Amino acid sequence: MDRAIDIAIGNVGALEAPGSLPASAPRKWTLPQLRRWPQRPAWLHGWASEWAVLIPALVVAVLVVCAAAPGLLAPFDPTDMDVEAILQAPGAQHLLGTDQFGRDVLSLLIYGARQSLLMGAFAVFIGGILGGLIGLASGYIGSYVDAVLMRAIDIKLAVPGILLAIVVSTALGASLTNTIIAVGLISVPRYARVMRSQVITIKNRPFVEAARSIGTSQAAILFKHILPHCWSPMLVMATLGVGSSILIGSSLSFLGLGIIDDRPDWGFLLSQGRSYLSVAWWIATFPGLAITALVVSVNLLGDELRHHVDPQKRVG
Amino acid sequence: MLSYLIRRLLSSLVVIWGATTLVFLILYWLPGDPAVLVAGDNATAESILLVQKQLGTDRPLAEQYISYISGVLHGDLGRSFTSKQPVFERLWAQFPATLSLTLLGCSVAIISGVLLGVISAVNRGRWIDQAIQSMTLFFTSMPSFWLGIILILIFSVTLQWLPAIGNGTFAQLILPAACLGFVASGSLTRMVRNSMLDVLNEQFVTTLRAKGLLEPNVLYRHVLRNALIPAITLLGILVGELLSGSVVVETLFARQGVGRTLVEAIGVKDIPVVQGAILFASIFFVMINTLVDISYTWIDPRIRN
Repeated sequence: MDRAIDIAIGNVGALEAPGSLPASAPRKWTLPQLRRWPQRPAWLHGWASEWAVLIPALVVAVLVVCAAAPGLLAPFDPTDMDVEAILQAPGAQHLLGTDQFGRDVLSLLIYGARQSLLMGAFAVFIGGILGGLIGLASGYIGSYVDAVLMRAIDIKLAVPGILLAIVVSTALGASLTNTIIAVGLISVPRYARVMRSQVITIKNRPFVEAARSIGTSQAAILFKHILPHCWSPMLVMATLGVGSSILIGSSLSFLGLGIIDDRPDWGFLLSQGRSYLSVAWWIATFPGLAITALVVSVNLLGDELRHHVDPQKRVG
Repeated sequence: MLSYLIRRLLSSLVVIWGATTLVFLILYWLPGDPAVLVAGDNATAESILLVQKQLGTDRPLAEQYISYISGVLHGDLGRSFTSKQPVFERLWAQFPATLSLTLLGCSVAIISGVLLGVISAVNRGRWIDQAIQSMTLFFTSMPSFWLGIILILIFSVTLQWLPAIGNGTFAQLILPAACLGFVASGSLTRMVRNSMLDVLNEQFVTTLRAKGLLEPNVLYRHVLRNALIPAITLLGILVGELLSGSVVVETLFARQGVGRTLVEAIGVKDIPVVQGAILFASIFFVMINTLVDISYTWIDPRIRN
């Protein structure tokens, strides 16, 4: 399972490259070769890479503004129920239509941005700090500490992600804070693994041995010499983790298990719109689009970060 | 090889035991007394005590834990607090629905993942590669319930080709499985593409080409076979994703399976059912991962030592 986790979290360094197998297998049949598509037009080349950073950065920036000051952008009060305008299709007055209570969907989305962004940021923070510490201890101390911590991580991984988040958030009680804690806790293993493998790689480098041989203290070796080398893979993991935290958080509120209060929330709005699919497609469609746009943007930025941080992993 | 198998199976058992204990402890500290819920709104203090005795929640933690574990070992997962039905029977009856959804979803993910990964790698840098990579990004970033909503809107509401809810017929399985499979296929597509590109850089590929082997032969007989080896490890993760996803998808498509039962049971604090459902999922997940690990050593003799 270790290898699978490394692969799933993109920890390519921990895997050995697949080697060659004997090439003498008998020829029986082959799949027809796929047609080669024409080369991408030249004018797209330099263009695509810059836009791949600019657009997601813009999306995230707009959503951060929405989260910080929703009143600035929202055309209506999201709690404003307009009985005259129930289930109105997107139009000039309500750009994204209205829901079953006559609330403006666009305003609900703008006010809902805060929940998703808080979820993404703080769940990653909790998971990253805890996972980082566990990985640090496990990788640096090694021996039985490593064995015990890694078995604990294995046990945690045995319960599929969302299931554990459901149970933890229910046990803590449904609120935004507790959902964030639950989503953060279930992401601990991936950070712990990345941190551990990085620490193990670094602690065997000659400069660590040199530091040790001139009598540098353990703490100084750990925090001054090893830790600085661990930031970049952790940062990449964290950026990519924001997206999955938002997805898990919104799944929980979709299931009605996460944030149960009056604040607008994308996942919850979508689950309500499900009942009106045949008459009002816009209620469920736009919140999902918002979640997807945010997560795509964050993941694109994460990918870009990974390319900058680790040129070796640049494949393609 | 045999000692490896035994060690691997033993560690799986330990992991399952650990997961059972973890879930037991979390649920033990669940706020709110289930006895109060079971006894009803106008229950007296005495009747609540009586219900606590019946449910066994008045006993100390250690005693509850030991009786639960010994129950699990005998295949007895307790009785539902609400329906009084044995939990094992209820979940066992619903397991086929979840299993068929997971398996079909897995097939969708594997077929589309490998196909798209190969097309992407073979056409590296061309627009089709870019298109597939963008699509992959969308699949991995999309909430499964949203893709499900879109599928329902297109195929059930507008075209009216497929039913949106329920389980029983195969037609009702198509949309949920497609939804589950496509969302999970993203990571597999990436993996297959990257692994194909890695293998294409190997020296034996140059040798094969130099000796005049036709390109399709090089690609599908030699490169793809080697490239799929690391992708196999992803299967374990994939099943985990599918099991997690099935909770959401079963709720969305109103399919009566283990995942939806879990969500419903959480709502009414039916602890034995929650424990049972998670235990089911964990055992299934750990079993698949063990199988993947073992088959991995069988497929790739190099890591046997």
